[in-house]
Amino acid sequence: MLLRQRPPTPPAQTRPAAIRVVTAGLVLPLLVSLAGCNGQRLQPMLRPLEGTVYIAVGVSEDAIDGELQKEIRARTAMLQTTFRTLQPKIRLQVEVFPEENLPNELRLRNSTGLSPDLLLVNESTARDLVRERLIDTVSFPAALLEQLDAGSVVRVRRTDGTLTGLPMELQPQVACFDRRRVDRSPATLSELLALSAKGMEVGLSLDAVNLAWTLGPLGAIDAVSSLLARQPVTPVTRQGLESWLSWLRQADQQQHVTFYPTEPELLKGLIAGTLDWIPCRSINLSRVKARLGKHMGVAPLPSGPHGSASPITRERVLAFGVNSSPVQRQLALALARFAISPLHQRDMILRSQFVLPVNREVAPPVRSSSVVAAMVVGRQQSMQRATIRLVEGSSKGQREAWQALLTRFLFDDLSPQATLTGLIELLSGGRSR
Amino acid sequence: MSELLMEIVGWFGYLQRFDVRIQVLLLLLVFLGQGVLRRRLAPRFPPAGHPRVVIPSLLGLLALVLGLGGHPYGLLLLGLLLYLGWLGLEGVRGLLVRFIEPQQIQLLETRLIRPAYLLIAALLVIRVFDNPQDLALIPIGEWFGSEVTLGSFFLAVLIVYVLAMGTGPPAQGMAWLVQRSVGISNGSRRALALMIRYAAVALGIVWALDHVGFNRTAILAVAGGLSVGLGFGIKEVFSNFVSGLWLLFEGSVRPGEVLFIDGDPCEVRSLGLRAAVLWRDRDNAELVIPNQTFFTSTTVTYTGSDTLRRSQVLVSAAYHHDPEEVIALLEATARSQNRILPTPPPKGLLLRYGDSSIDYALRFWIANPMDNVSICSEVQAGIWRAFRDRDIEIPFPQQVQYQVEGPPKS
Repeated sequence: MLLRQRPPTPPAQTRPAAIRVVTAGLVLPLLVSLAGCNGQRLQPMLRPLEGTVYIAVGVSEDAIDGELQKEIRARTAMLQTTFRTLQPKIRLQVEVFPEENLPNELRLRNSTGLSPDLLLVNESTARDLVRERLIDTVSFPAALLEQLDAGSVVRVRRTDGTLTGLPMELQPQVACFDRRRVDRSPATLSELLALSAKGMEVGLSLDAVNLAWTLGPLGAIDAVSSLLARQPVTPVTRQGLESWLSWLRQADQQQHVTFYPTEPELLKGLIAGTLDWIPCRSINLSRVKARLGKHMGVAPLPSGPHGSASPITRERVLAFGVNSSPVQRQLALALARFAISPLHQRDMILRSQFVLPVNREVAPPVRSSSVVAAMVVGRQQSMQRATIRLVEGSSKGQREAWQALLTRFLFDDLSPQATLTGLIELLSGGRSR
Repeated sequence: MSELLMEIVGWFGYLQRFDVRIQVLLLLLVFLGQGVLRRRLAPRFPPAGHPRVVIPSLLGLLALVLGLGGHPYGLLLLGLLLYLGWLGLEGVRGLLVRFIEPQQIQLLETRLIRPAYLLIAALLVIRVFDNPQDLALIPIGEWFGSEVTLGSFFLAVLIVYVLAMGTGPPAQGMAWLVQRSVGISNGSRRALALMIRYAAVALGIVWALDHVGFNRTAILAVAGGLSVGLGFGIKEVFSNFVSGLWLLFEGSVRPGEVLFIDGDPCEVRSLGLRAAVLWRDRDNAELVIPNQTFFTSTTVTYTGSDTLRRSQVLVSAAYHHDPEEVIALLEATARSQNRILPTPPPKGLLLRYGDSSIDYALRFWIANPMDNVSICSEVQAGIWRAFRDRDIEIPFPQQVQYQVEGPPKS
């Protein structure tokens, strides 16, 4: 049995000791950094730069998971390793953010002085961030920009000649399938439905950006373009959209075609074996490849009666934060130049990162790789349909409304006529950017 | 784990930036140097003697200066926000005082509210240096056949901790509702509250293991192996735990019960996983007794079926007093005491004829066993006064020694 008496009052002199410990813990790193700073000022000009570069990678909120984070960290580690041949004392610290939340995130970070030095984001996001003055614009020599994909450079160039960011890589949309169950990817939309009728499990996403590839083959691309450009609604516009909606309904009625809200669900289905054929962004191929291995098949997306597919190619750019120290900015610029150098761009392709280079001096190996060939076709298809960029540039609210409208339509909650009216209203009136 | 450490070390890279350095320095100056400033300012401006005035004012002022100079000042505002939040916890305590007992507030405050606030503050600070969602996905190892991420592990620990520390008041509320609707005793209510807590924590642990993604087969295998080790190693701990659960169900040692320990009545304060804590009125001591003691030895309780206790005092009167008169006087004295129950009625008894007096016993019933000593004291004082008034003598043993001459010397 224990007999417990009232505990004695602890001595009061522990607080100053605790304060001393806390002070030492906080002040020491500060002094070390200050010392390092003074040392940097005294360094010779040719001495390598030293410091940490913070990189924020924006990805779709639905896609963030442990596996994606690992992929991004692995890619950053690879970039760090190769870049250290130039700047041996650099350290890259990467953070992954939902791209939709980046404006709010940057507002907070900028107010504290803790914004990232570099951001790897979609070109449309970089444009918005510059408009809100949440990132800095940059200038690069014309000679360097001439090496890059002309279309990509045009889209990042502002009227004053500065850039919203530096194009780094292209992520086209392609068809991805399991070779164990699909011998050959369908070349047309009719063939897609025919194969699904024979048992091929097809997964499609209702997300506007992911479904945009079906607009071109079904003759709705011009209708969408004219509506986004706020041109008057004509019978041709209606007809184009009607035929597109009709095909969606027809596909939905197929037993082996399933619509999902977002692309990550399609990928999970393909990896799990519940789906055989899906449209997917090229950057996600590495994850599919890791699971399916040699059974992963990649092909261009199917065409239709009105032409080839109209997929959207994500153009990823390197944007620059506003709080960088002079050394960090120098490092960020050096890193950006390195990322678009032929050396690194070629390395990206050879290491199967499933992106296309923006540097024109690097030719994608289309003859040796059917995957790269399909990606190149996907890129070309997206360039033919430049107005699709407007869809990509739509707001999150618009895309959610689009998805909700199509979901109700496919569940027979909305008639084709009501859906058509809603779609026209959404595309013509809701364009905020 | 190394990935996490590298991530944390990486935060110090922000000190490369002048704007960050200046904010961190100012924060340190304000929090560590405010004492000196207060001592200097207080004689001239008394409100400046309070840290609650000085710290927020300084932080606000410095943030304003940095803002006007076009520099980021978010870290200063964050420091101000967190400090004001810490002060706000006292307001929360003031609100809780109205609804919860002070002792429980103390426990809630030290084990739940303040730790929760510190946790939120830490997350807010991490939030500006890093992305918590991103950090949560960092793997910290592979346990029981599944990869455990920092986020899932942290969440699991947090849920179990909150359940263990924060389910007290809700469980007591539920037990109170049951008492109101079913009419169970106070002891049963406390036992029920404890059982609800144990059930909530057990469910929380099962959920946590499931959430982290542990392989159930692997856990069962490890549990099987551990059970052998437990049988030899910490069997006392398990014995006490199981005894505690059994005693709760049995209801013989519940919070509020009065037990006789080493001749003293003690009230059960709590029945824990390992030991019961009893309060001894005599010297205000708390006794921590392993649960299995109650499980394996005889326990004397005054609160098993009711809380009544039959008590008695012993008294002697001289031989020349009429025993009937003495017994009547004893019973009348007992009836005059407020804290002695009228029914069953007090009873005086002639116990025996002693060497120098007749020994009597006065037996009576009291409602609260813990009051026995004080009531006995009052009764005995009353008897002394009654005997004095009636000239009844309380004799004490007297011995007369006679010196006898020894045998003749030979």
